[in-house]
Amino acid sequence: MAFEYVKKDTVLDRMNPLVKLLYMSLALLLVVQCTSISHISILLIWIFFATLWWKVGQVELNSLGFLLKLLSFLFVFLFLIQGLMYRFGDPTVFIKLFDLPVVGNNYGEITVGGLMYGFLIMLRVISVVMVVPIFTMTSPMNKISGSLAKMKVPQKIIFMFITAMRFVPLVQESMDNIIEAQKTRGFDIDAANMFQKLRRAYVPIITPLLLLMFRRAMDLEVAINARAFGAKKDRTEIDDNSFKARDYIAIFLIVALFAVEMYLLYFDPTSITWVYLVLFVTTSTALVGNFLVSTGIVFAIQQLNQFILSIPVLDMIGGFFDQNILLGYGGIIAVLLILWIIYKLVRRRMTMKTKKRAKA
Amino acid sequence: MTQKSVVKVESLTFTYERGPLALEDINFEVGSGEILGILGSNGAGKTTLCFHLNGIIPTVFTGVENGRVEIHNLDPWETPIIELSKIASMVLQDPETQFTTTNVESELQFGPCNLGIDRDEILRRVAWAAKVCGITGLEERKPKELSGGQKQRVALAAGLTMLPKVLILDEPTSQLDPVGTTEVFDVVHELAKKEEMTIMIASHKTEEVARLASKILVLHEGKVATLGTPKEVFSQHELLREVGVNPPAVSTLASKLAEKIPGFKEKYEQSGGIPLTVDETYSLLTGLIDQGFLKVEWKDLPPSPKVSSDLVLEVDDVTFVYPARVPVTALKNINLNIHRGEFIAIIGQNGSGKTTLVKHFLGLLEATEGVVRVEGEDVSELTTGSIAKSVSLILQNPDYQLFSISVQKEIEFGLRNLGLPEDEIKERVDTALEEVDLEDVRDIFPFRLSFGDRRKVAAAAGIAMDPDIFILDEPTTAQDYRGRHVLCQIASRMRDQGKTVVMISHDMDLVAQYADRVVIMTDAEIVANGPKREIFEMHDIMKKAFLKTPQITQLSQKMKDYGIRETLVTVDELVDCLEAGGA
Repeated sequence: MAFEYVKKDTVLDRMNPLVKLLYMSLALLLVVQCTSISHISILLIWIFFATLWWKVGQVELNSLGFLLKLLSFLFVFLFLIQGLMYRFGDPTVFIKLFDLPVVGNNYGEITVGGLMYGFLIMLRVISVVMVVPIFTMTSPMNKISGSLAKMKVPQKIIFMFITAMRFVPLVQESMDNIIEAQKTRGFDIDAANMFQKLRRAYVPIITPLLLLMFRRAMDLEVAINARAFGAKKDRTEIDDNSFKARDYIAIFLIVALFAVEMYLLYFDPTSITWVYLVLFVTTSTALVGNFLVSTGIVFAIQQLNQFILSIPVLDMIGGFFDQNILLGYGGIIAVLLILWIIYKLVRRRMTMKTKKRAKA
Repeated sequence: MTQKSVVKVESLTFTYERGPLALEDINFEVGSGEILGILGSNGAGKTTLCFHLNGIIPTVFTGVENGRVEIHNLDPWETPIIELSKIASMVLQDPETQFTTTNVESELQFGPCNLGIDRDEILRRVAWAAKVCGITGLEERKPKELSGGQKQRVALAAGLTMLPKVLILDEPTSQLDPVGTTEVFDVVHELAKKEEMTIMIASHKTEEVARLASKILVLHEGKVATLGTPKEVFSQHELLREVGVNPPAVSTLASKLAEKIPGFKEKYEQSGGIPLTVDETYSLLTGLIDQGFLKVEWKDLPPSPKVSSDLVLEVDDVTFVYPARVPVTALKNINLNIHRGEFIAIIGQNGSGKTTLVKHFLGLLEATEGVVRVEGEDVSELTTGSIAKSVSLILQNPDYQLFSISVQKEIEFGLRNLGLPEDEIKERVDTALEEVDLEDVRDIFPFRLSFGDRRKVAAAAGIAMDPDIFILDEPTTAQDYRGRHVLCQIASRMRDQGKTVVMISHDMDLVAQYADRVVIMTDAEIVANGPKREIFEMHDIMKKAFLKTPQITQLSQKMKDYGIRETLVTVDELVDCLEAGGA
């Protein structure tokens, strides 16, 4: 599992899990309030400080990479949908895909405002999601349960929580074993495509998994009863879960950061952060733009685009792409996109072919 | 023994709610510091009896009970389970499911914490239990980072931290290798002796039970078949065979000799009852030979079966590394050739890489280095589904694969995957069901069968695929004496039909009886590979691999000076060599 606790003995390890819970809830609270494009800068500041947490906790960055990879599909989808649908921001057309005029708006165009709104939503998702591994990867389970008990959360609920955490890897492991077992019976799950998998592959896997889990749950009931679960209202707590100096400092830092963000959000949203962000973006684009123009790369690209657009068939398709802010590079983008998709398809075919074949 | 009895069961009869009669008229008493061994085949009522003693019945499972159960003067039907759990602690069969928390340390603390015991006292108990069970140093591990044997020790230690007066163990060693088993039983023995704990062990490992138990209770279909000291119980050879309990091999030897040689029974009874250990048997037999009552008549062993030169499986310098945060080398430069028609046993300690190796035969795992070839074809190029046509693996846990609504459908599943015509499917299902003797239950939902029968269904599904290579992963797991032999006999018959059989096992008696060739693995490497008789003579390697030679083998090796020329592996071989002497 990617998000399991590994003992590292950092400050975060020793910190009371309640502090991390506070941090998580504040992150949620912040994100709920950031709803307009001008809040992008505020989210960026939050994410910057969140990465500091990662650094302090020595959490592997590749687990963040794993998360982003999981979510990447969602992000692309967000950009596309928001780009097409959001009509309150900058109306400049980035790329026009097709014509769909409805009540004065053309919903076939991806606008810059839409893309920025998509970006905002992506940042909101990231700021919440990247808090979770900080909690799960730096907090040992007995500490979590201990501090929850300290908050007078009923024992049964804590136990349910812990069992859920324990069953996640167990389900995964059982699932792998079941897939292996079915493979040994001539069940070629590798060879099936997505729709075949959905249609018929899941019964032989999900059914034994459910039955197995029911049986496990029953055994677990026997096991906890045999060991006096629920005997005393107050279980003995082995770990010392009282708040220490570092916990107070951490709470202070978190609350302070949150207060600053709130201040920026409600009292001074544009003048400080947003202006700096815009300034940063415009200067950097100007720099890059100047560099590209002065080295003649822009000219070369324009020539290439002209050339592509002069090819008869592409002219028809690429015509749509001719009207955008990227100085008319639409043709190039379209061609690159098509090439990339073809490359992906071919590669998939190739790997599938070389990898496995049926035994004669 | 005259101690005050701690556990007292009087005419106990129990029927599960909406279920069959599980126990009928059980009577016994156990005193403090005594070890009671509970034997019986699967479904004899061992687990139900154990559940009665720590209050799982009636708290978790209910039914109709008659009779009396008394533990430390408490009646489980009137005492809350929480009170009982301080007195009677139970370790369940499956170490995986009783893991209630996420690491070893908190697992050991779980019970006493629930009781609200003082913190320092808990820490002291945890340290003690970990030391007694030999798991010190594993405190930080998560359940999945433990081997099956370690999990079983953790489960035992978790039971001990409750500091019970009565410890109930339900097959505590089903997943342990032979040396691990002996270690656990020694721990149990210590506890009984030093801590005056009363211990009840349900187990299939009769050799160990015979060695340590002060009393043995044999159950059969919910009734007491016999109750007595180990010597009394194991001398009832006929009865035990009927109820599916396997006495220690040396006791079987004595019983068989008694049948063959008149007067032998009186001889061993004079010397203090039926022998249970190798040493006892050795001194009994050699004593009688010296007296002239017995004599050794060496009969040459049948020549070992001819091995065909047809290679079906080649493992060529295979290394396998489990990808993990800290990569684990599970196989190290393995070379193994398996010929058509061989019966090979792979033995070794828990976690030595046996199952990992076997998984390579089917392409479930891909070698990091080296090549595995099945019938000349490189496994890494084939889909597992298609290898399944020629290689069939019967897994330890049948619950990973059973999902259909009837036994028949279950077996058909694999055949349909092969895309066979309907009439052939029907034919193959019929033969497979006949093979495992499950024709009566072909329309029953497999999940309702007993574990042993579920295992047979899984085996039948494997047989129906009509593989060239038949792999059996640990036929002994949760199987009684009869069940494991049924699986091995099926494998043997398949071998006779010209198939190749590979078996992974901890049960040295099974290996000795059925296999032709034995491969020993330790720490991801093959350390020995050869005909079984030769392997069983390599004492150093066996010891290093945490394995024990079967009792008969030990005995025959000890008796070399008395004319037993070669290493014998089965009871019958040794019986054949002993004749009545002149005197």
